[in-house]
Amino acid sequence: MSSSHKRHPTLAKRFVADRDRAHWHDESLWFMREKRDLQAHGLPEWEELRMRASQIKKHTISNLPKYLLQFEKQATALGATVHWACDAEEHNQIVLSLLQSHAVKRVVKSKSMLTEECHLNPFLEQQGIEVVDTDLGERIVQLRNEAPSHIVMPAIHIRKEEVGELFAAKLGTEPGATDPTYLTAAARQHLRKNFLRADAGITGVNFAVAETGGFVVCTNEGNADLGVSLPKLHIACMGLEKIIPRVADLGVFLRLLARSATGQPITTYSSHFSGPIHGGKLHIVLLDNGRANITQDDDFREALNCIRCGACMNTCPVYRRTGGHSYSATVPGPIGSVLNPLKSPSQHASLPFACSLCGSCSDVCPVKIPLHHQLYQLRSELKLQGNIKKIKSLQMWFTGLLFRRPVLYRLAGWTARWSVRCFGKLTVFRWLSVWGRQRDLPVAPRQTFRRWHKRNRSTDGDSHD
Amino acid sequence: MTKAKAEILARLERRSAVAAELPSLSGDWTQYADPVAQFHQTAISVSARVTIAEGRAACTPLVEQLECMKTADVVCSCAAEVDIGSLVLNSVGDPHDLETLDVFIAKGKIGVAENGAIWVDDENIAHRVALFLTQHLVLVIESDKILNNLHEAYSSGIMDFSQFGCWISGPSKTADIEQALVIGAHGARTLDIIIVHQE
Repeated sequence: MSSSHKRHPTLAKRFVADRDRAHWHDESLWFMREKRDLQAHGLPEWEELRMRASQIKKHTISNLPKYLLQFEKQATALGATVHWACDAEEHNQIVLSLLQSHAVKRVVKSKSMLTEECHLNPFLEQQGIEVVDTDLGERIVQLRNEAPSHIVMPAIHIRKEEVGELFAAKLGTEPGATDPTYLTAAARQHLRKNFLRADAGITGVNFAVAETGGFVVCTNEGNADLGVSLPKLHIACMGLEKIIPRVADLGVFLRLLARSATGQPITTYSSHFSGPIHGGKLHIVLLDNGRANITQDDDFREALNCIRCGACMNTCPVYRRTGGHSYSATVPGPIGSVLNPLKSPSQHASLPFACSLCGSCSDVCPVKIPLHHQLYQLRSELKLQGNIKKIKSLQMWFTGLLFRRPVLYRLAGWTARWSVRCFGKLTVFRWLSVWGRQRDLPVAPRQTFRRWHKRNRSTDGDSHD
Repeated sequence: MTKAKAEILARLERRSAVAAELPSLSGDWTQYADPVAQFHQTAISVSARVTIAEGRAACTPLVEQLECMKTADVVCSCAAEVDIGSLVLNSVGDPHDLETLDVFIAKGKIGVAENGAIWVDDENIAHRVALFLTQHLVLVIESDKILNNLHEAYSSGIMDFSQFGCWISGPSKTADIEQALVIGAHGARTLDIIIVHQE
């Protein structure tokens, strides 16, 4: 994964170079944000639901061992088998050995960010197992050999003309066809064939219920259900943080999830799996992969509240304008900018800086993760760990110095006003300074606010001067 | 205990739990003056079609007249109220044979006014895939089983969590191509809901 070391600004440069596409992407996501607002404002108890959801998650994360063991016991009683995996490699090995022991050649998989995180598809393909992603958006990015750019809408960065070209090449649709209804119908036919010939189905998990040992998978397309209701083997892959204590907690989370994600009152299908299908097998893989460490961290524990609705991405001014691939991570956007640096700080150090600290993500988060506070906090942690560029550290140090010394600060202000008047735009060193490339300078004022205040408002002279 | 399980539990238990109370789920949740009317309206907003049946006996003729029945060859009903269909689900051995199913009719146990969802479990459905593989789905729900919200549903005692069950709200859909809403992704292309008023 050489690209995983690329920094956000470097990758974003490519995306913003196409102004029309960047603008279209921005508007598409804002449309989702508006749909979310309509649903949220339509429920008088919205804030109360967010509060309860946050409390349930905090309680669960603080008591994970108890609830994981309860879930394992109850799921086993329903006839499922529970596996534990410390990291992605162990997770993939478990899935592979399950598939091999059932002589599986073809797998259909519904959307699961966790299996993306583990790079399960390429791993299984190397072992000669065919994996077909069945969510339409995921199938599109899979056929393009790309990663999803959004956790709810994986193909949000792709134009319908591009889907048309792709399907003409791969699925034999009419060349030049761009009608979403026609293209979706073609995908439906193509994927139905795959559902009917699959030997096993893999799904993610939205919520796993400790009380009952069951779990819930939410889709709009019905692909998860088709994928696991025909073959006799169902493998469900979940992160430790997907546990909730009581089945009735679903009342809170299902009311929040789809409203926050896509502005629907609930997803079309919210399937409650309780043990294997008649005559079949159900295996549940519980994955840690860095999550347990986050539970131990007072500053960032709440990031595990996340229910993967994507609302923080839809509202984020940086995500909307730079696209999901600029984050070079399975989970992009504000929540990704917290989770990824927590797991591998040196690889993802640029992400917490891809943020204007506007706080919109925290406002829309249905489980009240203080995202922008965490992003701010992460910046200083990354600095202390030596994970940010030298030049940025130097700039920070210098800015700190200026703000600590009033005399220096005033001298710098005087120099800046003088040079802007004399040298104009040359001052921003376009060829040197990233900041100056897309910006113009204001006309420098003749006098400072300080001087104006002294002349017009000050009654007792300027005692601070 | 496997090595991984022991290791994960040890990682989680390095420090004692932080006190955080599990909240109660009772609350001042929205109640509708007429939950059935609200359900009707919400179901339409999620692209379902709704028909009212005055009494159980009215169901079969109403289903026969549905748009989806006009061109249907293979029809199967698991709802006691609807006595039509050429296919008996229990007699199907391999669920893959349901590939040609045109219309599937099932009984819902709860309807939810705030989101238009209907709870269907597989108690009387030998192959649950019928709900998703069929081209057109018809769900029958009694009007007195329509509740205000999900909190009422989960505490109603009607839902059985030892078997498969699913909230279904509208026909299958996707907006994965340029966010254009397309009805009929992988699951049923249409959803008809029959609300049965008691005699």
